[in-house]
Amino acid sequence: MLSGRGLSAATLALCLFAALPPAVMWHRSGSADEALTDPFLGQPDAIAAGKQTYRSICYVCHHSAGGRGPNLFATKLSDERFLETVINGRKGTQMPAFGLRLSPDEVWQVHAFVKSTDHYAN
Amino acid sequence: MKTTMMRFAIAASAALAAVLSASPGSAGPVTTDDLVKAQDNAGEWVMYGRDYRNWRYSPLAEITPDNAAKLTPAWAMSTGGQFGGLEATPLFHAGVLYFTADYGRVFAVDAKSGNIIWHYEPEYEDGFNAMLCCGPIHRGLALKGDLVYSMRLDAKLEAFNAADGKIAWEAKIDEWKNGVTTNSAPLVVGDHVIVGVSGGEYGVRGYLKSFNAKTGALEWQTYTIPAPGETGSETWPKDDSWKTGGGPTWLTGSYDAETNTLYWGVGNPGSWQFEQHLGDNLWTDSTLALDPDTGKIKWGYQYTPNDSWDYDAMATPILIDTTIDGKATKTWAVSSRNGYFYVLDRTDGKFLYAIPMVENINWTSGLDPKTGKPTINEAMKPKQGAGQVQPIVPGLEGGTNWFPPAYDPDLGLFFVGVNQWGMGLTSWEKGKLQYKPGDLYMGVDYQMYRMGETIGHIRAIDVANKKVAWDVPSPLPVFSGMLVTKGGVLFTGDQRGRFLALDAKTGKELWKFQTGSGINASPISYELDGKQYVAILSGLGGDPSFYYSAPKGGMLWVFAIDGKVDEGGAYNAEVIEKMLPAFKQ
Repeated sequence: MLSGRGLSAATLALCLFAALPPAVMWHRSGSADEALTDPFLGQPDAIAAGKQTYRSICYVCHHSAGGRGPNLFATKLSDERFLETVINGRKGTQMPAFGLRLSPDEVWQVHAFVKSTDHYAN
Repeated sequence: MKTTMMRFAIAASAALAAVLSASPGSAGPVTTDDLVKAQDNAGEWVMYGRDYRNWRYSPLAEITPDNAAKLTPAWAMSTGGQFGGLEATPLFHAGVLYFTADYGRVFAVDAKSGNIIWHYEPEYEDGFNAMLCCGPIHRGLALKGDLVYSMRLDAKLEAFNAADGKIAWEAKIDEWKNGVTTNSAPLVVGDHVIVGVSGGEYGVRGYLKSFNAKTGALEWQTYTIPAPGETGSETWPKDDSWKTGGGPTWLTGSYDAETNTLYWGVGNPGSWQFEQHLGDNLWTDSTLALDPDTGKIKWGYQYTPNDSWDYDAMATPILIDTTIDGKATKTWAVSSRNGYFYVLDRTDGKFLYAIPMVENINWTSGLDPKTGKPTINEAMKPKQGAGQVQPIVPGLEGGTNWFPPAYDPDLGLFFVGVNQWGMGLTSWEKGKLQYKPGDLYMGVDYQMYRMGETIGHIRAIDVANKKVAWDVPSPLPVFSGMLVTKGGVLFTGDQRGRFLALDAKTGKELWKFQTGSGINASPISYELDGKQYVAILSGLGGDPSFYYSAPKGGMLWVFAIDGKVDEGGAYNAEVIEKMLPAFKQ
C-alpha cells in the first residue's frame, strides 16, 4: 500500500520537520506546505489491520477510549500530526517513539481505525 | 550514558578535594558479613528489603506513637527528569543515600546535607521507550564491597564505584529488543549479584541470572519455565509454548543464610490466553527455592495454575520464624496478586495456610486446606472469542502487587497494602495473537473496575493466628511499600500524596504529610549522628498512573523529629560556565 501523497513508505523515511530527532524522519515531496493525509481512511481492510495494531501496541495506555494516554478516538490532531506523534513520540510525556516498530503505513492504519469508531471494542 | 560528580558552586578546588575526601561513602566497604547481619545494623539500610528476610523492620525506636506527630521534613530534593514515577527503596550506608529514579537514574546523596554526590543518567537506544508497557519506573539498588549495583531498564547490569559513581563494569543481561527489561533491585549473596527480569507481557521466558560481584562475569542462569524433559515440563503442552511462557522474576528475592537458600517469586504465564498453554505451567505464579551458588532449583510452590488473570506471584517472600498451630515453624509468607496471603514451610515448600486478603474473590471457589491448590472457577476464565468475563475479583492489578510488605517480629504482624477491585477480560479470537519479539503478547483486552467506594486498605495480618488484626481503608488504591520500626510506628504512603505514620499495633493515624504527588515507593529509616530519620520517594507513575490523573512529581523527602541539615556550603546547583562566565576586564 502507499502512504501520503502516493509516496511509498520508503521514500517517506526522511525528514518531515527539521527539528525532529533523527530516529525516524521523512520527506515530503511536492509543495512543502502540503499536509500529509491518511490514505487509508474508510478502507475496511486497513481499519481491521489498524485495529489489530492498536490492540497489540496502543491499547495498554490508550485503552478503549483513553486511559493513561489520551482518547485517540476523539483525537483532534491532524493526520500528519498524528503520524508524526506516533513515529517520534511526544517529549515530556510517556508517549514513546514507535518509529522503529511501526511503519508509516501501519500508523496510518491505526489512524484509520481510530477515525472509524468512537471507541475500541473487541 | 553520563555520570556526573557535582561540582560545588562555592568551594574552591582544594576545598572540594577536602570535602570529597571527608565525604560520606568512604566508611568502608559492605562485606558479606554486613549483608548477612543487616538486621543487626540498626542505623543503616544496606539492601532492598533491609535484610535478607525482607522484613523492612527498623530497630530504631526514637520515633514512637507518642512523638510521631512532631515529625517534620529535614530536607528534600527533586529527582528532576521526566517525572515518570518513583517506586524505589533507597539504601543508606556510611552517611550516603543511594536510590534510583525513573528511567533507571541513580543518585548518591549526602544524607547530612541533601547534596548530590554523584548521579547517573542512562541513555537508551532509539525505540527503547516503546518497550516499557508499564512506565519507566525503577525499584532499587544493591551494595557490596565498594560497588553499587543497578540494572538499567534496557537489561544491562552496572556496577558503580560507590565513592564517585564511575562505572567499574557493565554486563549485558539480555537483548531488550526481545522484550526483556529490568527495573528491580539486584540481590547480592556472597559474591553473586542475582537479578530478575521483566517482560512477561512480551512473551519472554523468565529466568534468574547471577553475575560475579567483582568482575561482572555471568555465573549461572536458571529459567523459570522448564524446557522439554526438564522437571515441570509435563505441565506444559508438547509444543513451543514454553519458549514464550512468561514467568518473569521482576521483584527482588529473599535469602536464608542458614540453609543457603534463595527464595524468589515468579510472574504469570504468557500469553494471557490460557488455551495457548494448557496445563499447570510450572513455575509460573510460583515461589522458587534455589541454590544461590549454582542456581539449581531446590523446590517450588505454585499458587495459581494455568493463570489467565495476570496473578503474578512475584511478591518478595518474607522469611518469618513463628509458631503455626502450636509448632515453631520457619516460614515464607507471600501476599499474592491472586488475593490470598500464603504461609508456607520454607524448609520444604509445604503449604501451611492461606487466608483471603480481599473480599469476594471469585477466580477460585476455594483453596484446598491441605495443599492450597485452588479449585478454579471456570466461569471466570476468559475464553478465546467468547466475549467479556466480568467482574473477576481481584482485578489484574491484584489483591496486592509489587509494593513491599513489612513484618514486625515484636507484634507478629505482617503489614501489606491491599486493593479491593475487579476486572473484565475479553480474550481475542483464536488465531489473532501471534508472537512477535518486542510486541505485547497478551491476547486479552482488559478493563479494571472500582467495586465500591474504597479500593485501598492498609492491613495488618497476625501471622501466627491467621487473621487480620486491623485494617485502615484508603479511598484510592494503595501502591506504597511498608516500613515498621521498633518504636512501634508503621510508615507508608497513599495515592493522594500523603506520607503516613500509623500506630503499628492498632493502625491509628499518628501523623501525615502531603508530599505533593502520589506515593508508590517504599520508606526506609536510618540513623545519622544519633538521630532517626525516615526517607520516602514521592512521584506518581507506573501502574497507578493508568488509573489516576494527579500531579506528577519526583521528590526525595527526609523526615525526623528535630532533624538537622548541614549544607556545608555546597548546594545542588552549579553555574553553567558557558552561559554565565565570570566577567573579566
